[in-house]
Amino acid sequence: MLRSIWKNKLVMLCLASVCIVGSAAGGALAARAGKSHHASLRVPKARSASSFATITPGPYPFTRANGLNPANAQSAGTSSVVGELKIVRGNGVACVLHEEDDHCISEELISQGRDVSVHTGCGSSDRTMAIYGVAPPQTTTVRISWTDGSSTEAELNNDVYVYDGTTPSGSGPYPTSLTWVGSSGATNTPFPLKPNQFCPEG
Amino acid sequence: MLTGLKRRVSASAALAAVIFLSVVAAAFGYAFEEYYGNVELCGTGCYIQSGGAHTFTYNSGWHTDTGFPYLACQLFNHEGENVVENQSGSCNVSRGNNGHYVWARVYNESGGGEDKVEGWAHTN
Repeated sequence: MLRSIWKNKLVMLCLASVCIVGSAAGGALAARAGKSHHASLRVPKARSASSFATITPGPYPFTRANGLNPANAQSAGTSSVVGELKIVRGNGVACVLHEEDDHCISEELISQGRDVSVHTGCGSSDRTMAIYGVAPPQTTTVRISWTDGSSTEAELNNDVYVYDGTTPSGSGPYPTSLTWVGSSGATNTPFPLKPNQFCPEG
Repeated sequence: MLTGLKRRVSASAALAAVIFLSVVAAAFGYAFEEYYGNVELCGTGCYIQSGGAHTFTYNSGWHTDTGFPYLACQLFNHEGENVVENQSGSCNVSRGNNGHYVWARVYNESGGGEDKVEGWAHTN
């Protein structure tokens, strides 16, 4: 019995040693390869592109990098494509969360109508698309215009808009712009993707 | 093909990094994770790519210098799986764990050149 315990401890000690030596060797060689931050992510803060935050890996890395707590995110509607959407704001940024994914963008860029995320299923079985993001302040309606001249309205919840549709292909139609309608009028943002960018070569 | 990939990693260093990353990944509960890129990418359509295919369920990309380039994160294989997420400044894409091997890529779609971009992909 006693012998078995000592044997187990010896095995654990050997495993720990291998890990330490392996990590040190790996770290040294990885540094030679130009990668110096394996144990953490060094990501830009959304408010200022020139300042960075170092965080540990895990869900919602960009939200945490911007000093916000994902647990404080509020519900902002549901997409049939990307699931439940949540939003958390603070420190001059807003972060949109869904499943384990997140993205953060400065309030300044949001006010310019620059938060346009596009999720596209490009596989043989999944051709779903979601267009979502944070609408500029005081937006009451978000419209998406298409190359065939039509327009569709996105759902708006807690300042987060989402449109669920199908990934465009071939002759389209493709989205061309987003219109932010508010009490003081309407502004437009050109759609950030060209037709060949919806589904990059795989 | 790999227009934007300017830095080459030696096979031995890459292998050591994989061993190290596996240890780190285990500590965070991931069976496997990989950092890739951290190089300057040319304009629209240029990309960085994971060193190999794996059962990645999550892929994230971000720029590491000034500006907010429009980026696309992708997980795909040549057997019909392909999911993409386009976002400003950073991007995230995930997929269900079906055990299939996929590659991870981050594209620069902003049109501007020489944005330094980095990627991080992991399994469940």
